[in-house]
Formats: sequence, C-alpha cells, structure tokens
Amino acid sequence: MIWYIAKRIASMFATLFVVVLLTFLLMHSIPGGPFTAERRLPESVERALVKKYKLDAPLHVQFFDYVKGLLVFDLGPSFKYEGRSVNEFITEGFPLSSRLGLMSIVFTLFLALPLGSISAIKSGKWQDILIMFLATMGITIPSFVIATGLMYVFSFRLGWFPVFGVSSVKGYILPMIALSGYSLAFITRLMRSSLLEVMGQDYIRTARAKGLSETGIVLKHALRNALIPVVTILGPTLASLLTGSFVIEKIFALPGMGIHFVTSIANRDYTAIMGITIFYATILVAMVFIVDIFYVMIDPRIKLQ
Amino acid sequence: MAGLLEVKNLTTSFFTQNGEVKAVRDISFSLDQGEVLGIVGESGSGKSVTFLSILGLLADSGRVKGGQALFNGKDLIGAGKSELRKIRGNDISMIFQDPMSSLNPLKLIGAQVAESLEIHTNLGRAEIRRKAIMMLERVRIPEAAKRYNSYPHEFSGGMRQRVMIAMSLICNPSLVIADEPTTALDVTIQDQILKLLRELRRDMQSAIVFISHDLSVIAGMCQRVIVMYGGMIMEEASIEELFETPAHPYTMGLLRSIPVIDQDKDSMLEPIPGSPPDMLAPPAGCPFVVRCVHARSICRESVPPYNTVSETHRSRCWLWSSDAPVSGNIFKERGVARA
Amino acid sequence: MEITAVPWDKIDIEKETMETIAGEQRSFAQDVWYRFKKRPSAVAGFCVVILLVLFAVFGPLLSRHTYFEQNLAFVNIPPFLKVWKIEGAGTPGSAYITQNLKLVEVSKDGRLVAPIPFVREDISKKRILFDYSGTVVAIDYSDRAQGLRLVGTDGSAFLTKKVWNGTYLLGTDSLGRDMLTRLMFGARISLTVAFIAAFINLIIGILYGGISGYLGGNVDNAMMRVVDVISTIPLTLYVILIMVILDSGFLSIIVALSSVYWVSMARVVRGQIMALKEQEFVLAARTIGTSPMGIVMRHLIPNSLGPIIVTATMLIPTAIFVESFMSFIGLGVSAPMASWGTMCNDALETMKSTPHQLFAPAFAICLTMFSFNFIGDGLRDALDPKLRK
Ligand SMILES: Nc1ncnc2c1ncn2[C@@H]1O[C@H](COP(=O)(O)OP(=O)(O)OP(=O)(O)O)[C@@H](O)[C@H]1O
Ligand code: SF4
Ligand SMILES: [Mg+2]
Repeated sequence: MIWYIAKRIASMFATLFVVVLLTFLLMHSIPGGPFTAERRLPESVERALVKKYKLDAPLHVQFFDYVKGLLVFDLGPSFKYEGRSVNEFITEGFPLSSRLGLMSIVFTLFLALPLGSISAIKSGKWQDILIMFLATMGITIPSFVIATGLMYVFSFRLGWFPVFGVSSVKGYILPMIALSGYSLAFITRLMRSSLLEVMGQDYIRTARAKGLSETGIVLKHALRNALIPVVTILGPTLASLLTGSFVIEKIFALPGMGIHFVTSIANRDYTAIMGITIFYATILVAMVFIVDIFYVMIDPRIKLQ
Repeated sequence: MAGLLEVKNLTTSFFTQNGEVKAVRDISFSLDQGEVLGIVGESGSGKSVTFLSILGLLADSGRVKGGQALFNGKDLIGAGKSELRKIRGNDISMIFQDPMSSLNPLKLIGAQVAESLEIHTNLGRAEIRRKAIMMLERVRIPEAAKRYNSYPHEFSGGMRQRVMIAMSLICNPSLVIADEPTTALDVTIQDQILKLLRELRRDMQSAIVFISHDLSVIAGMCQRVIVMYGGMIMEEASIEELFETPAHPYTMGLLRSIPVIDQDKDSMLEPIPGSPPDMLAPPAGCPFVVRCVHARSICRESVPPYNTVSETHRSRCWLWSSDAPVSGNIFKERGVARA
Repeated sequence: MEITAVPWDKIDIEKETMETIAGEQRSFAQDVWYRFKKRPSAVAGFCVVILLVLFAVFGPLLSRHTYFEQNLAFVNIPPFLKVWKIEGAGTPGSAYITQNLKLVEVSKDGRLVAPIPFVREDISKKRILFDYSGTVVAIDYSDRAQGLRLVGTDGSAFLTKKVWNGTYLLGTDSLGRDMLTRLMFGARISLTVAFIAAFINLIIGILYGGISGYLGGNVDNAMMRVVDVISTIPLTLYVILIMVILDSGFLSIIVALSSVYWVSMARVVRGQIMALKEQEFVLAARTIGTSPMGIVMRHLIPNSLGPIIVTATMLIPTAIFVESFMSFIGLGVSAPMASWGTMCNDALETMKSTPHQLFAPAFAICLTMFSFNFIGDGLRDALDPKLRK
C-alpha cells in the first residue's frame, strides 16, 4: 500500500512536470508572447517581468526559475495588470469556484446514485425509461444551454432566483444545477449499467440461491460492487466540474476562477493563463490521486498487485 | 423411502429478442430422500435450467410455462417468492459451475459462508461464526479460522469450490444440487473435489443431484442417471443398466465418447457428429433425429414417448415402441440375440 | 396420432444435416443495418443528421439573405411579431414596434416593408409620433403596466395580432442579420469543424493506437504513458491553450480539436488490436509472410471496426460541443463568420429581451448532439458482437 502510494505520488509529480513543461513551451511559442523579445508593455510591468523571469537569461534557466517559483506556490506577476500577481487571481476566484464545485459533486452524487440504482432495479419499467430519458438529455445538452435555459425560466420568467451573483445561498442553486447536469446524467447512466451488470453476475445468483431477499441482495451484494466503476470516474468528474465552471461562471457572472481564466484569455494575459492552467492541472491530478487511493481502499482485489 | 422431489411435466422457455428458446420441455422425474441422482447431457441440453426453474432462479427472460415440482409434497413452481426464499439455501442448496465468478469478490469468504445461517437461523453472531469455521474445516480449508477473513481472490479455484460446497452444506439441506461442480477445474483438482464430495456424502443425509456432462464422473458418484438432450429426458436408468444396456442412441454415443483407460490405444474416442439442436426452433419430433444413425421417418414427425425398458429403466426412443419393427432395430435385435 | 405412410423407414442423416446447416446467412453489414433499423431513436437521429447536412449545404443557397449582410433598420426583430392594425388611415395596414422604439410597417403576410418615418417625440405625453402615409400614429409609453401601445390621434390603442415574421423567419440579431441564414451558415461551420476534426482524430487515433498495439512491449508502454499523461488533464484545457496560441479562427479550432481528441480513439484502437492480435488469422497471415503493416491494414483494422466506428461517431458530438464551448468563451471562429456557439455567445447579453437569438442556435446544438448520440447508441448496439448469434 505504501509502495503504491509512493509510486502514485511520483507519477503525479511526473505528470505535473510534463504539464508545466508543455505549458511553458506552448507559451514560449506564441509570437508576441510573454517570453519573446518584441513586447510592448507598460514600463513597470516590463520591469517586473524581466526581473521575475530573468528574460535575458537562456530558456532553461527561465524554466527552472519558473519551476522554482511553482514549488513555493508563486505563479508570478500578471502580464496585463500592473502590480497584480497570478496568485491573487487564484486566491480571489478559487474559494467561490471550489464551493460551487463541491456543492455540485455532492448534489450529483446524492441524486445520481439513487436514480441510477432505481433505474437499474426497475429496468425496462417506466421509472427506468423516464430516468434514462432525462439522463440522455443531461448528457447531450451542453452546460451553457442548460444554464441559459434555467436562467431564462427561473430567473427571468419566474423570478425565483437571482439573475446574477451569489449574495445569498439561493444564488448558488441554478449554477450548481447547470454545472452538475452532465456529470449527474453521466453518473446516473454509469450507476445503472454498473448495477445491471453486477445483478447479472454469478455471485448474485449464488446470493439468491441462499434465500436472500431482493432488497438484501441489492444492499448487501450489489451496491458496493456497482460503486467501484463510479468511484473510478469521480476524479475526472471533479475535473469536469471544475473546468466546466468557466462557462457557468460566465453566464451567471460569478466572480470565480473561471471568470478570471476567461478574462485572461480575452486579455491575452499569458502568465495568468499559464498559471491558472497549471493550478487547474495540479488540483485535478491531486483529485485523481485521492480518488485512486480511495478506490484501492474499497476494492480488496487491488491490494495484492 | 419417501419421495423428496417429484418433478412433473416441467416446461421452461426463455423469451429473447430472437424468439422463444425452449430450454426445457416436458421433464418428469422423481428423487428419494438421501439419493444421489446424476444428470448428464451435452452443453445446452437444459440441465441447469431445469433446476434453476425449480428454485425460481431463472434469469428475467426465463419463464416456467407448465408443470410442477413437488418438494416434500409442496409445489415449488406455484410457491410464493417468500416461501421459496425460505426453502432456498435452507432445504435446497445449489453449488454452481464456476467457483471463480460465483463468489462475491468484495465480501469475506467467512461472511459468505455464514450468510445462509444468518438468513435462515436465529443463532448469535459468535455461534454462526463458529459453525462457519467448522464447515470450512470440514471441506478441508487449511487454517479455516484465519482464512475466514480472506477474500475470494486470495483463493485458488479448487479452494473456492470447497468454499462453495461449505456454503451449500452449512444449513444441512435435504437436497443439494451440484451443477457441474468440477467442470471449471483442472483434472487433479477435479479429483480432489470429487473425493471430498464422496466423503461428505457418506456422513450426510442430504439427497444430491449431480449435474455433469461427463458420464465417467457421474459413474463414480451416483446410483441413478438421467440423460438429457435438447431440453428433454432421453433415458433414465440405474448406473449399471446405463453402462451395460444403454437403451438410447444418444446415450450410446455418449458412452463411446468416454475415454476408457485400460483399453488398447486403437479404440479412439468417438464424439457424436453434428451439433445440438437450435432451441429456438427444436425439431418437431425426437430432438436427436438429425444426429441419430438409427433415425426413422416417424422420429421426425413426433416426439417419442417414454418406453419402459425395465422397472428402473425408461427410454425416449421410438425404437422401443411396441410397433417398431425388429429387423434393423438395434435394441430389439439385442434382446433377440440375448434370448 | 397421424403417421405418414411408412413411419419406420430409415432416414439418411447425412442429407438432413446438410440441409439444416445450409441455412440463410446474413452478412455482417446487413446484420448491423437490420439491428440499427430496429431502433427508432437511431433512425430518427440518422434522418435528422441527413436533414441538417442538407440544411447546411443548400440552405444558404436558397436564402434571400446572407450571413453577413446587416440591416440596421431591422435589428433584434423576433420571429413572432406583435403587430398593431392601423385603421382609419388612407391605407389601412399594420405596424410593429421595435425594441429601440421605432415603427416598422408590416405587410399582411408578416413581411417587414419599411420603417415608418419618425415625426417627433412628445415628452409631456410620453408619446413618439410617426407619420404613417399621412396619418399620425404614436407609440405610447406612458403606462408601464400595459407596456408600449400604438395609439391613433384620438389616443385609443389599435388592435393587436401575432404574425409570423415573413421576412426573417427566425428573426434578426443585434446587427439586423437574418438568424435563419446565420443558423444555416453556423451549421456549415459547426458540422464541418466536427466532421473534419472527427476524421483527423480517427486517422491519428488509428495510426497511434494501431502502431502501439501492434508493436506491443516497450514501445507500447511508452506510447500509452504519453496518452495517460495527456488524458490526466481535461482535454478542454489543452484546446483552450492551443486556441490561445493559434488565435481564434476556423482553422485553429480544427487544429486544436484534432490535436487532442485522438487519445480516446488511440486507446480504443489499441485495445482492439491487442485483443485481436493473438487470434489465428493473424498467425496465419504471419506464416504466409504478410508484412506487419499489411496485417494491420488488411486484418486487424477491419476486424476491430465496430468499437472504432462507435467512438468516431461519438467524436462528432464531442467536437460540436467543444467548438460551441470555445466559441462561447470567445475562442471560436471570428466574426462575421458564425458558428452555433458564437451565436449563443452573442445572444447571451440580450437574453432577456431577445431570447430567440439564443434559443435558435441552442436548439440546433441540442438537436445535433441528440442525433449523433442516438446514432452512436444505435451503432453500439448494432455492432456489439456479444449480441450477434
Ligand atoms: N438466460 C438465458 N437466456 C436465453 N437462453 C438461455 C438462458 N439460459 C439458458 N438458455 C438456453 O437454455 C438452454 C439450456 O441451457 P442450460 O444452461 O440448461 O444448459 P446446460 O445443460 O446446463 O449446459 P452446460 O453444460 O453448458 O451448463 C440453452 O440452449 C441455452 O441457450
Ligand atoms: S427416436 Fe429416433 S431419432 Fe430419436 S433416438 Fe430414437 S431412433 Fe434416434
Ligand atoms: Mg449448466
């Protein structure tokens, strides 16, 4: 187990290193980008940049400098705004985004697991057909369409929720639903197919042959086994909830990380784009790691490997 | 001896996308207390489905279309779900073919063995655990108390099948259905499991239905044999009768395909040519007709009735019919020759 | 029981067996098509996609408008017009009040004829006066509860009626461009991007996965490590980065999509190749001396087509989605070109007043996504060898 964790941590850092390298090189290749000579920037920003990135130094020195900064969680100054650092963008935006993301994952799991199970148990009945119809909608309708639709109906037409902002808890509800839409549908479908698959396994027949009731079989033998595939995709799901939030934050005008990212893109604030990308990547890799460890804990078959 | 299980005209079909799969057609037999009955037949002949029907364990697409299965005089086919649950695992238990997939990979071995006791008795936790460990010892799991806390993937195939056997015997059922308990195992492991089953049989009172497609395995276990083909019973006989005077062309084919060790090497195994019938559209007459070298016109038209060969021996072959001509009839000519 | 004339005749079983074996055999393609046809949703999706393609290819040719032509007199006109029937004038007619408080004459069949000349604004009465062929009519904005009204000189409001916009069937956008034409043009962009990206991804995925799976061993390990690393990060992030570097535009989005989404395809292809590699026909081909590339192209790839086709089909909705997503955050095709995503993005600000500008492209995206997903599901079931008897 310790070996496994050590190995996973090592590979996590390797992945992150590759990501940082890739992003760094990509940013370097931009004509007029942050690390090329022909820039037209305010004097003070220019000075900050040159100082920060040792722009007169060779490429590899710059890179290691940047990495050194990363190791102490320093993402450098903004490329566009004088006196602002990328760290500031993150500390401003991330609390809201992570709150929204966490609410969404909780919302997703609370709905998706029971819905998927009902759908599987009532396979072929109207409950299943209804749930699967909704899930198909959730998978196919892009989040920004869901978001705008929700906003139009519930904020403009019915006036139940505020249009913009999160001054009250109410403000989180529509963004949360819109953000969860895809994952909710996806996990519902996954839970259904996983439980159906498990229910068709030989060991379920063994449990039936022991005289266990159907409810007992689902609760004691099927659910835990069916959850394993769901756990494996929790990492990527968190990922999609975090990255999906660009659009949701934009539509609902929430001052989160997504907004900062989108504005940075629009402003061509390269250091911010780079810093936020790396920050996202780190979070995601860490999430996947945590989920993997959790996965090892619930599936005894993996320990021996 | 009182009849323990009496199956009458059992008929089961699966309703699939491609149509109705007539898996079991009009099966009747009976079983006494403590008796060991062998069921033999090729893959797909309906052996498993017969007993899954009786226990109400068919897949969702399967339905018993008719017939009865009287267990201690009570019809299991018409029984309610909860009644049937009380019998399953307690009075009738089943050992399945594939020990690799028949144990829940995420549950402890011990918990899985003990589960039947939890369902069917009111014993305390400690007592249940004690009994489960005892049962594991009886099926020769080394260090049973320690292995109680293992997961199935830590066990070999043979060990898992021992666990399955322990699981099926823990409630002292009056009938154990062993559905090809050794088919998925290596030959040496197979022998060990068979040996274990024979030993257990000696000090148990349970009746056993032993399903296999291997006549030689059946021969070592059973007193009486039912031969199935195409969802029907083809022949039923005591083990001696079956080997000495087989009364059905399919059985004769099966016998020819058993390797006999002490014969000279020339006598090659002869698999029966052809393949089993498509159960979506089984032949109207004898299911064996397309592969039978003795087939007559009538065999294609209608299903042969059970014909009595002796008190303990019946065969579903037209050649035993009283109308059947003697000349060119292997069974009647054999009788003539012997007389 | 009725028995034929000679019930005890022997049958020639050889012949019988031959007859039963020589049953009707459907080819693989027929089989797939047969099962695909059985799913109404898949067939419906298929039909919708065909219609969409026709809509995208021929629609703009048949339209009276172009996607870039602006008509600032007719901005933000909805598809359904609330027209006021002007009576008592020399020539009775109808008029529509635009959002920026202009008056437009509307013909009987809902066509926009021309703006009605403005006379003056009467601030005290809260009225804006217009000259409709000699008669003075006024937009009355005095009463908030009732909203805008068109009134005659006597101050009484005209009757209203809803008509379908005959000039711009789906209304106009904020620059007075025809929504329907833009939608058709957007379909061109979105579908072209999706098809090209899916195709390139398919090729890269087949090559990468095919080579990795075929060679196996260390090469395979290394190649799959790369895929693993790439897919650790959500692919949208890469697409964003690449778009930032290439600058938004039609080609950039294709390049960005094509350079990232092949990883899933590569995985599928590799899995298929690995599974098939050990099968007899490959060994047979090897012993005859067919070259490795020949084996991959002639034997392995045709045999693993099923899951590859499904993955490729599913790449199309993914591409459409990512394209609209990119356009939506301002990284899509550049103006005046329109994709469905940019149209949604443009419409977002004015969603409250002109929802039609948002709903039309959003509906188009959803419809397309649905169709491709249904086709994909249908194909998956139809191609699943497990169901094949
Ligand atoms: N769930 C099912 N759906 C459809 N058909 C089924 C199903 N289960 C069994 N069958 C069909 O019923 C017939 C009898 O199957 P059964 O499992 O009883 O065979 P068997 O004699 O036990 O063979 P084996 O030696 O392989 O276990 C077969 O033709 C099989 O195709
Ligand atoms: S009934 Fe006819 S076909 Fe069937 S086994 Fe007997 S001889 Fe052969
Ligand atoms: Mg079986």
